[in-house]
Amino acid sequence: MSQRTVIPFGPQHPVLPEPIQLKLTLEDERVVEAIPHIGYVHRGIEKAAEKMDYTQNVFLVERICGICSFIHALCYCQGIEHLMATEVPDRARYLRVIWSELHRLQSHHLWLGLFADAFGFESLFMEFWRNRELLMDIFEKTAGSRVIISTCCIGGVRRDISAEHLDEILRVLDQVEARLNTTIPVMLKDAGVRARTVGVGYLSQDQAIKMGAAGPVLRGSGVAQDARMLGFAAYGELGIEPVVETAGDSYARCKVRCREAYQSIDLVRRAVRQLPEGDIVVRPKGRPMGQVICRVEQPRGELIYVLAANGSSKLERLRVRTPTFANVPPLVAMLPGCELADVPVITLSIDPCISCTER
Amino acid sequence: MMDLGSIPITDVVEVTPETVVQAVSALVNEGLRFETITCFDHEESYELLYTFVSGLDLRHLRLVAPHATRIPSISGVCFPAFLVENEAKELFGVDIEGIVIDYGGHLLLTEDSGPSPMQRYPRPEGTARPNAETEP
Repeated sequence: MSQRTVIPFGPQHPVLPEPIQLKLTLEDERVVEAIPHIGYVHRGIEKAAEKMDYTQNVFLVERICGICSFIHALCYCQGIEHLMATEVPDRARYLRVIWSELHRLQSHHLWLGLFADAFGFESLFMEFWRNRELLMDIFEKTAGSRVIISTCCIGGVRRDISAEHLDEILRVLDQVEARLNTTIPVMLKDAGVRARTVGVGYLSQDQAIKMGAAGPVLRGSGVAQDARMLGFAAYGELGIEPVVETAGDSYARCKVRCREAYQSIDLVRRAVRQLPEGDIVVRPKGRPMGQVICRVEQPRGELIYVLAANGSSKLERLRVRTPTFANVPPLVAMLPGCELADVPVITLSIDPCISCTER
Repeated sequence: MMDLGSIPITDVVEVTPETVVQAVSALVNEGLRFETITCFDHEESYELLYTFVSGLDLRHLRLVAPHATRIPSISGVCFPAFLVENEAKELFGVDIEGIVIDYGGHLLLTEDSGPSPMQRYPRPEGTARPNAETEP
């Protein structure tokens, strides 16, 4: 007769980059139920945003998460610009794409490394993170810091990228691409990696929609939706095709991120080549007034900001819905039926960012 | 191509506590994907904005109710809403009943956090709903 046991997975676990607890109910080695518990890194960002000036909130929201910091600031600034009827200069829109896609690229490198580490593939983890260092150096050269680059501002961007640095970005991308050409085939073709990921953590297309999945979790189950198709920043001019896999398992989600890494390299190259001359910022006039809903695509999926302003210097409401917050219910749906040993891989396959989730 | 990344909140259907579950069920059956619930605290009422997406198009349901109103959970027909309903319950003090996984006010907040930090307006005496954990 099967015995039921409750095991806490997390909040501290070697594969978890940030604290989240899953209370796993097991029958022998098989998971029958998973209940998520969060709240370990809640910082009250939405409350703080109501206390601060709307211009100060740019610095607040870019600290929600270190991995996709720029894209948080981008979403917020776009919302304020909409409320203030501000048109961002073309050069700034392309620079926003360059920095956003470099963030996506470094985020996917980070995740690929952690994913390899989750099944003990230490050398592959180190290869991906070594490659990521090239991108972090680009951030430092173009923006002055590696992680929170603080280049997005209301009305455009704070810094321009010189012609010299643009050439360097293209050179570094050639290096990054060459290294990805050796590391990604290892990730996708290694028999051990496939044994741990193919058929593991299956989420059907129907479930992905019903569970409100976002990003690679959604696209890995065959749903062709990517918020960049909305055409914000310069994505409308550059064009975007969502990267889709249909298998719906951890391997498919991994493959989506691998292909998106190449897509990001291509987007940055095209943005650099098409970068127009001109101003990088306009000074908005007045104060924000009204309500707006803004959507952008973070590395983990669709990020939504709802802003409500009343014409004063402080916002009435800032609501942040991050992609990992949306991907926790699909995780709860994926885990029942899997083996205990698969839980770390399935959990990592949604690319959890708990700082984003809890704000 | 038009920039649809930031848009005003339009295509809003008004619902009540009596009709919200049915309205959500209809959207889910149509194949829409749940996005989020945004809670606004007004002087004498809550406003809950339920946001769904079909492809890239957003659709919203708006529920406005006095503070003391008990609101049914939509998590029975839309499972992913359970997290954000817990958040609305503990941060805003919205009395949501029947959440499929109810954290009793401790999804994000600790025991010493104090009640409903996102409430902007004081509640009249006798109308504030106690935290689920302390409710008899």
